[in-house]
Amino acid sequence: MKKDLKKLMECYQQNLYAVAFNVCKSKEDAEDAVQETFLQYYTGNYIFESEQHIRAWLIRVTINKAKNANRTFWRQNKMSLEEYMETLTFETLESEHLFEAVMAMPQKYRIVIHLFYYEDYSIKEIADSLHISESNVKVRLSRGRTMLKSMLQEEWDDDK
Amino acid sequence: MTNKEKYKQAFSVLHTSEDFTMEVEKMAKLNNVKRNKMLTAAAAIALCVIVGGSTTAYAANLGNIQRQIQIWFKGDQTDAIMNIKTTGNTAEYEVICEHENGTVHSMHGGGVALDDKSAEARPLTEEEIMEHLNEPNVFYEDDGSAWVYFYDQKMEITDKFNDDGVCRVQVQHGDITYYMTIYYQQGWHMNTDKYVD
Repeated sequence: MKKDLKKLMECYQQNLYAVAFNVCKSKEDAEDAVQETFLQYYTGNYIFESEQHIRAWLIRVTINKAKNANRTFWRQNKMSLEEYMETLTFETLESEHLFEAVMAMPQKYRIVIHLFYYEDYSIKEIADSLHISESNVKVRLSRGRTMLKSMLQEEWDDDK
Repeated sequence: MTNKEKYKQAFSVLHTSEDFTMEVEKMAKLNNVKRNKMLTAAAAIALCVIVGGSTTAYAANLGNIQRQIQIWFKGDQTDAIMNIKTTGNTAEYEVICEHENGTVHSMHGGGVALDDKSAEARPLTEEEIMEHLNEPNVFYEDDGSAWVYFYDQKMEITDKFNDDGVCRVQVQHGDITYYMTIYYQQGWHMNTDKYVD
């Protein structure tokens, strides 16, 4: 199966942008990564088994493209994270603190936390997506949670 | 509110620019032209020249030959067909193999070797081409990940590039260690003694 590009963008654009932003912390780079992912989907000869397969492919490709954007040398002169955050309207102060705390974490923990809490990915799905072992995912998730707890204190609950 | 709900609320502030969808659609239309240009560029860099101190005997009348060979492709040993065409002092080769996932791949290359003693150019021998095919290789997958393959080994290097887009890794097979300096999507150097920049 292959979905129409327009429908695909309606479904996944914002989620993919959030994933990409989580990796590269730059509005421009995140948009580029998502654009490139959609273009690759459009031009590539891919056959997907299911909607879930499409979603997993889009997320995996977006993450890798966002990582690649991090290493391009013309990243200078783009809006800084602080400047970009000033343009965002958070629903609550707690949300803003959480966003800041996640952005302060190293990328390898940030992306695991994001896939788990935002995309509702299982440990196995995260492992498949990032090409790392399930035990590695568990370690990163646990350390990420500890970091969030230490930064946010009572604003972040202890996960069981 | 659970942590998941808090997290989703916090990150729901992220939205793409208003003209994002239009941009993608515009680029999708233009993309076929760009892809054709990229394919031409890829074909131009496919030719590789190996210059080295080989003493392997070379049959001057090699002409066109076809061999059924076994090569390591992306970590799997697979049957392949190698065609070698010799013109003057240049040998060109084409290797066609089928990966275990059913996809058919073709690799092209060729060039000349400089003889140790006479320093004269001569076509690459079959053995030299095989040696070249068995060297470590770097592949960039459609999902954006980058990998080094060497015999049955595969190593993901997507996260190993530094801010300048350079990654240094070692791969080993038997007694040989290759020190690879890989420039993101711009080729790589390798040496059996040290990293070369």
